[in-house]
This record gives sequence, C-alpha cells and structure tokens, in this order.
Amino acid sequence: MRCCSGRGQTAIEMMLIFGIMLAGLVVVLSSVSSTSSGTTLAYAARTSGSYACSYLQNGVVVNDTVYDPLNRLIEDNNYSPVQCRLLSVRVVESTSGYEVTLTFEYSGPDAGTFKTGVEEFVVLKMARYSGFELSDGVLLYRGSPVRVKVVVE
Amino acid sequence: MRKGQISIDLLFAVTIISITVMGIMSVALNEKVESETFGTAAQLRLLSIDVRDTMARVYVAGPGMVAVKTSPLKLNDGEWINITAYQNGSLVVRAFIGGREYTVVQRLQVSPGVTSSVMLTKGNETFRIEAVKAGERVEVLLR
Repeated sequence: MRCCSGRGQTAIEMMLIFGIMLAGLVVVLSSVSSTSSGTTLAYAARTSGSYACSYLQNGVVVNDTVYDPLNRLIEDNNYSPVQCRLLSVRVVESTSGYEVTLTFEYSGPDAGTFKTGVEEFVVLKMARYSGFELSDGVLLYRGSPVRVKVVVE
Repeated sequence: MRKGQISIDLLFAVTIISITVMGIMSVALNEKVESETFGTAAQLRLLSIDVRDTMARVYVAGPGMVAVKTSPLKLNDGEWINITAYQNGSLVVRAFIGGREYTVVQRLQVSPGVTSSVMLTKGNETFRIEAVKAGERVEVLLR
C-alpha cells in the first residue's frame, strides 16, 4: 500500500513537471518563431534588394516575369548598366503586418521610376521564397501582409 | 543529473535552433538557381564587351585582319547564342541558355559598315571577326 501510493505520487509529480516544461516550451517557441520570422524576412529582403542592384549593374536582360520591372529600367537606360547600391534594410513588425524599408543609393535620372521598378521587383522576388505568397498584388508572409517600401538617397 | 533530462534539454535546444536555421536555409536554397542565372548573364556581358573591343581592334588593324573567338559558355542541345552587329553601330547578343532568354546590348566604338550576325550552337561555338575592304571603307564582319 505504502509503496504503491508513493509510486503514484512520483508519477503525478513527473506529470506536473513535464506539464510546466511543455508550457514553458510553448511560450519560448512562439517568441523564437516570431524572432525567426523577422530574421527570415530581413534576410529575404536584403538578398532581393542587393540582387536587384547586381542585376541592374550587369545590364543583361533576362526574359523572366520576375525581372520585368528591372528590364524596363535597363531598357529606359538604353541597355546600359544602372548604378545603384543597397544601403540598409529595416523591418518593422506591427499588428497589421510587416513593413520592410529598403534604402538605396542611386544617382541616375528619374528616381521615381527606379523606386517603383525596384519595389515591384522585390515584391515579385520575395514571393518566390517559401513561406511567402502573392495574393491580389499583396505580399503575404505566413498569412500576414508585408509592405515593401523603397527609399532613394 | 539523470540521462533523460539531458536528452530532453538537448531536444529543446535543437528544435529552437533548427526553426531559425530552416527559415534562412529555405531562402538560401532558392538563391542557387538565381546565382546560376546571374553567372550566365555576367559571362554573356563579358562576351559582348570582348566582341565590341575586338571589333574596334580589328577595324584599326585594317583589311585582312581576322580574330577567332570561342563562346565562353558550354552550350548544350537546344541552347544558342546569337551575336549581331548592326550597321547603325549597336551590338546585340541574344542567348537562350538553361530555359531562359538573355539580351545584352553594347554600343560599338567603330561603325561596322554592314550588318552581320553569327549563330553559335552546340558543336559550333567558334566564330571569326574579320575586317574586309569594301571600296574606300573598311567593314567589320562577324562570321
């Protein structure tokens, strides 16, 4: 009798400890997951942004829907390379989704066209990564909308 | 410390690390295809610059000068590179490689005088840049 009630008590204690550990895990994992989202988003934005500049500097037109916005920029520039550089990437998370701001150094003519072209490209390019999708022109990351903004300096 | 405790701690750590790493990995794996495209584009650009400069050099050397060039890229079945020098002074390199079409345009430093074009395909990856005399002028041809 004495042995068996003791064993039951140990089992219940173990269940309690495991319960606390699992609850802790849920709390930790959700915060890790949200940090990881920010990291992935920043990484994807940085890769797309610097790729846009490499592509523009190369000045070779590749026939693919993703590159259409950049191809227009190269064609506008008479097929000569467009000089630009990615300066910084900022990701701000809010309740209504994410806002990604990419800052570029660009001194060529018509900064407005450059801005819209690169913005379109970054959205199309990011939509190709897993976890991202494009629905009705809005970029979604794991269901929350991502707003891409390009700033020219 | 009991053995079981160590392994469950390790499990938690591995789970947390792998969540972060997998997000970055998925982006990085996507990059492989893109970097291949970029590599091909860069090589085509180099080819266009090389042809442009060689045409200028052949023009300066005068009639009878011939330069032999080879495609920097290994072409497979169905892939091609088309190099056209237009009379108006632009050089256009078009290519179809790995299911994608590429276009590079260069401004020639000398007027070729005539429009000429070469088509490079598998097993036919060499072409010549020649300067020929046409009346009073020198023409630069691709063939």
